[in-house]
Amino acid sequence: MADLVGHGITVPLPSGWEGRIGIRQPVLSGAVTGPALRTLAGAAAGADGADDGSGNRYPVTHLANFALPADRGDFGSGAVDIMGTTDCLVALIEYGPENVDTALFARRPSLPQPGATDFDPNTLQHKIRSQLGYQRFCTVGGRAFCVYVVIGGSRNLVPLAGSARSVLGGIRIGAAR
Amino acid sequence: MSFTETVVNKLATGWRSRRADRRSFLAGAAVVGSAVATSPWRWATTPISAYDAVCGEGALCEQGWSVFCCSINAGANQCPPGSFVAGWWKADNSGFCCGSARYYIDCNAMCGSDWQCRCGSGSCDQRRVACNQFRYGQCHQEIACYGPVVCRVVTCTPPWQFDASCTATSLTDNRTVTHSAPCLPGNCPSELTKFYYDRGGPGGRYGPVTAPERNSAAGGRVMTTRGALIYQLRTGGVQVATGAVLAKYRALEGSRGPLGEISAPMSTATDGGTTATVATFQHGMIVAAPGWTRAIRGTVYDHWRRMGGFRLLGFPMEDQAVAGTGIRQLFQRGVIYDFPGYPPFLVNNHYLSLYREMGYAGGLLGAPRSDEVRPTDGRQYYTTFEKGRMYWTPERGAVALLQPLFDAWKATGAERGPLGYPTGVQKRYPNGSHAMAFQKGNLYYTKAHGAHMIFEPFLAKWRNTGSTVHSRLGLPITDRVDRSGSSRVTTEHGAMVSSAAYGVHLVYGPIYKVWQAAGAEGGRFGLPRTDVFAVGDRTRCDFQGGILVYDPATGKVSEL
Repeated sequence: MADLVGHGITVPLPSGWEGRIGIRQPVLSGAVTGPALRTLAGAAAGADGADDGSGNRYPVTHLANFALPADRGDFGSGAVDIMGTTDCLVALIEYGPENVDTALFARRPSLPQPGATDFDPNTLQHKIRSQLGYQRFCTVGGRAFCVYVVIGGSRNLVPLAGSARSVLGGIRIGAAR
Repeated sequence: MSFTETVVNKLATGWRSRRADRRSFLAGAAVVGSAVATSPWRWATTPISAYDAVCGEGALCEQGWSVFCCSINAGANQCPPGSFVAGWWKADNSGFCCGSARYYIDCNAMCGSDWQCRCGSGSCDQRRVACNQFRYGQCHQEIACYGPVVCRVVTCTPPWQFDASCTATSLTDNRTVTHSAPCLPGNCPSELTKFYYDRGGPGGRYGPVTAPERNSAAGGRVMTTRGALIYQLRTGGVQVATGAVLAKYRALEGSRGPLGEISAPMSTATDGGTTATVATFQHGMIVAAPGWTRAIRGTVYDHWRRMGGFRLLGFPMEDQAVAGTGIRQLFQRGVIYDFPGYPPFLVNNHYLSLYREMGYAGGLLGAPRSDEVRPTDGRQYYTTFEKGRMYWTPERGAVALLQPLFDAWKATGAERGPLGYPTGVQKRYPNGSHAMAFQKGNLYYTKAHGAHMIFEPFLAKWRNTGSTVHSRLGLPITDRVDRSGSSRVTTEHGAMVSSAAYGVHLVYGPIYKVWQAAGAEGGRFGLPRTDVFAVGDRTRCDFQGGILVYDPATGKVSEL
């Protein structure tokens, strides 16, 4: 098991999983959109909360038990489109400090961990046949997050939910850097 | 020929109907523009209609995306009732926003609302309505309980810039960059169109477009909707006029009327605790406050501005009104008249109250013939009217100098003549006589004898004498007449006689008649040594050569 570390987030990656932690690169108006997320290798060049005029950008973490495509939306579009029924995607999206401890981002001691019954075919950014989703907002360690999990097929719901729960349970949230 | 021109020509020559009229062509061209923006290659190379292409990718219900609000909300690009702005994301490099980011704002159902999951219908935007239990989460974070995404609003303006409930945490999904709907603006809309759609578009607060965007004669661009005049000046920044201002503008025939085009940003003006909205046009202004909306326009507007506008004259108290052959507009601190043959003139706050008492332009003074004049040689300001002049000092306020004294005074040299400036109120008598005090003398007018002045030493005597004696003496009917050893001013019923030996004395009534008949100053009674004074029921006057007593009981004057 290897640790994925970046921006104060530490993820012990299980075997067979891969992950990315990064802040989206600013996009110049009219420029061709590049790879969705800057990977860890390029992370040192950016700063949390950077503003390219279209908002403040914060770290997005994508973890999957399948090969993540380079071009992904923050909530996994692009990745969810290629998921098989045994695949699982975990997204941990950070929000700015103004979101911390609001009613939506209620404080809790650790990241939420979904049970199998928490998944629903309508809890998806956009519905894809056979997929199930889970979404929760929270404040952990003084930082605001959304946890979003997509499972490729209901037939494998119980083991995939267990994997997601295990991955989320291992994530450690430190101070933002 | 550009790619866009090519496909528009394709539409014009072959798409749907060769009998399409100009209106349908323009509407079709807009759709093609959207089609080019969303899916150019697909539209140009595959046999699909522009209406299919305009909705972009993922437009079918089974493709799982959420519908656009304007497709289900009577054309309004805004959250429908029972939903709230819950979060947003952006797609970069959007043709819909001229290469900048396009923002998608989710409207999630309120907890407890009765939205039911269904597919959109009625256009190519057949995406899901109230199905996806998902939230982006940057807006209204005080709301923790939420239902599915009912629909999404789109804008080229960062959401946190016009919705204070949204935070600026940026999330991106470029796979939605082609998503659109026929009820949304096409590619690279103008600033006015962006502004309009940011506020709901045709189904929103401003209603459908009633006159499309055009160049303004005042510079910039302008468009009108059922409920708004939306405009952008050369200096940038979109502005909007609505409500009472717009209603007034329309009542004055809009840009074809006397106000012309709107020409400055909307503003406010405050005076005496009242704050008004102000719309400025090429040739005037509309001012709207709670309870009233008024226009200032044309020559009156120009003069109002020259004379200090809101700062000095305040709000309009009425719209322009007809005043005889001219026009009038009353302001808080002045009234402006514009009569044919003259430039417009202001009667300012110094004179307004007295002018009103005197009947404005239809009254004793008539129409103004000047603005306030502030001579450098004195402290008395004045405004000239058709039939007189009003003078003002801060200590005394305004006085009016009317005909016929005005002409008589001017004949003496006006304020530079022997009388100087007026200081009192002009008295007008029922018989047509007039009297007025000036700095250095008094001026009188009687119909029979015209205008005459008195100066010292008679002036002090007159001013120290009460109105009862004035009425018995009557008004002066001569200027001062000098003779050896004395001088006199003759009045209607007597005389004021001045001598070095006895000073100034007033002789009047029956005693005056007897004295005058006896040769007056040159007769046997000679100069008066006293005024006429009362002794019991009788009156008496002492002269150099005797004493005359009048007894009202007998009606006779006797020598004592």
